[in-house]
Amino acid sequence: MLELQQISLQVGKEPDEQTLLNEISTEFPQGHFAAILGPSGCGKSTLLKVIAGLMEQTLGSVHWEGRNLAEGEDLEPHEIGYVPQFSIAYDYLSVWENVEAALRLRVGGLSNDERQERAEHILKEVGLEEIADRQVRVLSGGQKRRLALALEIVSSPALLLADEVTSGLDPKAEDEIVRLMKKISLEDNRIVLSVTHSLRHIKLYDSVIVLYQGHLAYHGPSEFLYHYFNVDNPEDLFPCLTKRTAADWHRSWQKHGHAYVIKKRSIANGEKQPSKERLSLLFEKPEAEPAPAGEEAKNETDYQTPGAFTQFQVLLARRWRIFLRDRSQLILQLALMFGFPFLVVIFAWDGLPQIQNLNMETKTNVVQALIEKTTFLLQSSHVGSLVSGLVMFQVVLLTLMGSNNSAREIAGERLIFEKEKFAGVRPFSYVASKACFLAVLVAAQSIWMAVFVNVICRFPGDLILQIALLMMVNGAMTAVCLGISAMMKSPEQASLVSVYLVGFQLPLSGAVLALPKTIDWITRPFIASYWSWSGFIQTMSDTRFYDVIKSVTQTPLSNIQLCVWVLTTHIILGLFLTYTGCKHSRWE
Amino acid sequence: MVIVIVVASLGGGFYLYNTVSDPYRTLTPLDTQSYLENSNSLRGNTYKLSATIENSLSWSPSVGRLFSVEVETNTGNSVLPLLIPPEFNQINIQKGQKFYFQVEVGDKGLLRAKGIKKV
Repeated sequence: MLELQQISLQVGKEPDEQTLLNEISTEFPQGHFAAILGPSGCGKSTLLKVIAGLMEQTLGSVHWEGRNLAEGEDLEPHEIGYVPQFSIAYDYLSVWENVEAALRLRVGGLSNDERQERAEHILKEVGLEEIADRQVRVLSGGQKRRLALALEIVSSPALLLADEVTSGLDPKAEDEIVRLMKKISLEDNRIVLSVTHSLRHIKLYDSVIVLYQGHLAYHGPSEFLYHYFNVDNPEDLFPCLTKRTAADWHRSWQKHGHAYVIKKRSIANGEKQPSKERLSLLFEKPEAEPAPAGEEAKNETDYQTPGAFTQFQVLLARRWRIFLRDRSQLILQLALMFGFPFLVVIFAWDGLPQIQNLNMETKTNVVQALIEKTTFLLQSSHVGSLVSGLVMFQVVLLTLMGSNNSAREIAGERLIFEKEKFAGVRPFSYVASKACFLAVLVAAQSIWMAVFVNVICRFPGDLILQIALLMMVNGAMTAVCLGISAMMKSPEQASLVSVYLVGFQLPLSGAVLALPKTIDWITRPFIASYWSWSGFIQTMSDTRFYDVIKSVTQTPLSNIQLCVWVLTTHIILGLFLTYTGCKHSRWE
Repeated sequence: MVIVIVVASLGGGFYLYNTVSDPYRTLTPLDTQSYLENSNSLRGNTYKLSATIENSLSWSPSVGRLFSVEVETNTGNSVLPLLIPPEFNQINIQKGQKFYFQVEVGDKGLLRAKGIKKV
């Protein structure tokens, strides 16, 4: 049984404090299908989120099977299903792939055959077996809601919460979805609570809750709803609520509600003089026969949440599948990967120019020595700027690719992740899958950039070290932007902040213009491009190119070990930021 | 956790900055005055030398490059001979460049570079 005791929720601080829920007390027995009704902003979704544990009530308590969820053990992820208003399936995956991935992520201990059998059973139950191979992006609104319900019943939760799953559907689809929820509630003695605006299928519900401005105005049998509010038509119900204050409705239900409960009980039992009963008895159903011991044990095993590594594997495989299916993203990635190195080499298509060194002997002819020195300075300035610029160009383009890799990676699917986290997916597995997926992109982009530019321009120095430094700056920017993606509220915000971060790389690196010393010391640790540029140039330290770059740049160059250290720190901090952002709940 | 990461990264960075930017910081600096007075007495010792390339004196593929280098001392600048062996042939050395050298005082007081780091 689910029991709500004096649930109140206030938000904001005085004097702007707002009460979203006010002393709501009610209960739902097992195998119950209830609608939560009320005008917009009355607290329907808020109540559902409080029950789900996504929002914490200010006062009161939620009890499940007699235990206070705030004090004792919370509901296990497999015990509760929550169908939000938004789509929780991946557009580029088929119906079957979405359900199978949900099973792999949420239900452990199943063999491949058992998983297949279960997925088939679920799809049949929600009526999607005919279109199992169809991608989600081509499904109708009603089919998507069916899929959402399918994804939530993979672990056979005892409590299913549905938040406006019928909104925006045509009458036929709405009818199908409500009947499907009714059917789901009849299985496994499950409680299904559905938030809805619609009064069209009111008779299908075992009970109806009416909320008004956060107050409980009614929770009783659907057949007495219109009688209680003294209205003839469904459309008159919400206008009727405005005739009294919310507190009045609340008091009224507390006073008269019991009579409706007794009435229902009497009708059900054919009694003339009903006895006083608890509200729960109104909806009570015959007790189900206890399951055989073996079967119970099997179910317990089925509902184990899979391990972190299994979830990581499933998430990584799913990410690659989506990446390869999303043609526009694939083409963009390939265009950037192959196009950007071309932008670099057009400045040195014929390779790097050779440099004539200064004569090492002391000349007696002062004029000739001066001419030689001037020529050398001009040459140094030209070649030094070119080589330094080519290195920085590679670095900046890779930071741009890094930002493009990850800025929307988490923010773009945040709500789906929150839903999966609620269903038992570990943030660690999620972040690890993202890190591995992006590491492959980073490696491919950086290796291709370094090798292609090296083949054309013939950069001197250790190529492996140069690849490593380019890979690290790309990795650092990817990790930091992934962290931004995990911290921001929307993909647009994350993209904007990431683009700004890339935009600062060139001017604050000191590669083009030397910064004032104080600013340089403050900003340098945060500018990944400086460390990669500096380290890359250091790989050429034995050559004349290094000497001419040193002669034209006023920004001091740091040694390779320090560059590698700082870039590694950027990557670690970026991943830490990502993990912290993912752990933090972002439902809104 | 954040504090641990930040402290570790700053500490590590500071350590690297100090150690790698001057790899010969643990060596005794060459006392130029003593060397000029009696180079033979320093024979077999290894020192750190901070010097600026002044001139190329001689070059042989098998023996290496012989430079005159300028060293700052308390009493003014001194010029010393320095042999860069062939294993450092790949390093571009030009006039006016400053280096840290790890030098060994060899036979007849000849300074031979055992390690080179561009400043």
